[in-house]
Amino acid sequence: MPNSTTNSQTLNKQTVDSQQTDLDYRNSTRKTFVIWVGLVSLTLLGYWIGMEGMSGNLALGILLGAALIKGQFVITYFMEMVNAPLKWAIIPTVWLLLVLAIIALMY
Amino acid sequence: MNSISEKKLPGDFAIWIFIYAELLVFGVFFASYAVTRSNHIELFNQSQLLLDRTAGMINTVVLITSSWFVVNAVHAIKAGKQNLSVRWLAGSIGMGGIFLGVKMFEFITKHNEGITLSTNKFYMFYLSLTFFHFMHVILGMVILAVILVMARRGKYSATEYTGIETGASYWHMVDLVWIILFPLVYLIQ
Repeated sequence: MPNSTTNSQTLNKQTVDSQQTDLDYRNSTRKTFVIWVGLVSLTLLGYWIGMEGMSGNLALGILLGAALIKGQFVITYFMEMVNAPLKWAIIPTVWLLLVLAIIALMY
Repeated sequence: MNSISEKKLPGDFAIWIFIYAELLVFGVFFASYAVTRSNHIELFNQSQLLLDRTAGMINTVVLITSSWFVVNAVHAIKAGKQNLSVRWLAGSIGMGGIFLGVKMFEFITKHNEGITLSTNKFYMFYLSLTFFHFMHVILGMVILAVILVMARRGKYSATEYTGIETGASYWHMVDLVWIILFPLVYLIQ
């Protein structure tokens, strides 16, 4: 009898763990979907600016700002740098800022 | 999926050395483009207007979508959903194929217009930068295809997924680079 109780408890724990894993997966895909929508929206904004032939500091600021946000989204949530040690996670962010700063200075 | 877990780089450490080196190379490329443009603003602006910005936008959305598929493949395998992970990976490879198709269309169009590397400085950068990136997309697709085959064979699980994370990290780098390349070469006037 104690054995069957232990087995039943183990089974219950496995079911709860499995449900929790499913829930975690659904939450993570929902979160990445929202990020994807943000990335596509910023892309379409940039495309619209390009097609309208907008130029000058405002257009430059919006395009580079959009690239900065998109890049950081990819770094943080797609590359999962949010889970990496800071000394390594900071490298792509510094790269992104440096490249965009050079572009801004040259334009 | 533990909320409290040790902080570590996703995937194999060696891929990160490769990724950082690649970012450095692309960074130098982008800076060279910006510096050269500052000396030939009119030429760059006029040549840029002849690019197919719609194709560039489509490819940006395609690459972002493929990156989203890949991150879902990683999350699926961490949840022990092997079949789902394989399907996300297949979707991302399909998106990579669309990217290559659109880019090939652009290359062929420019070739038919008689545009080559020596047409002018802008096209030298446009063709070399986008072709260099194109080759990275191909390499990324090969890596994803290998991972897909391994995943189908059950080599990855909820406790062993380093290989998928490694390939995913490389693919996201390819996406990250394009996120700068698209506005820089196609849009900013």
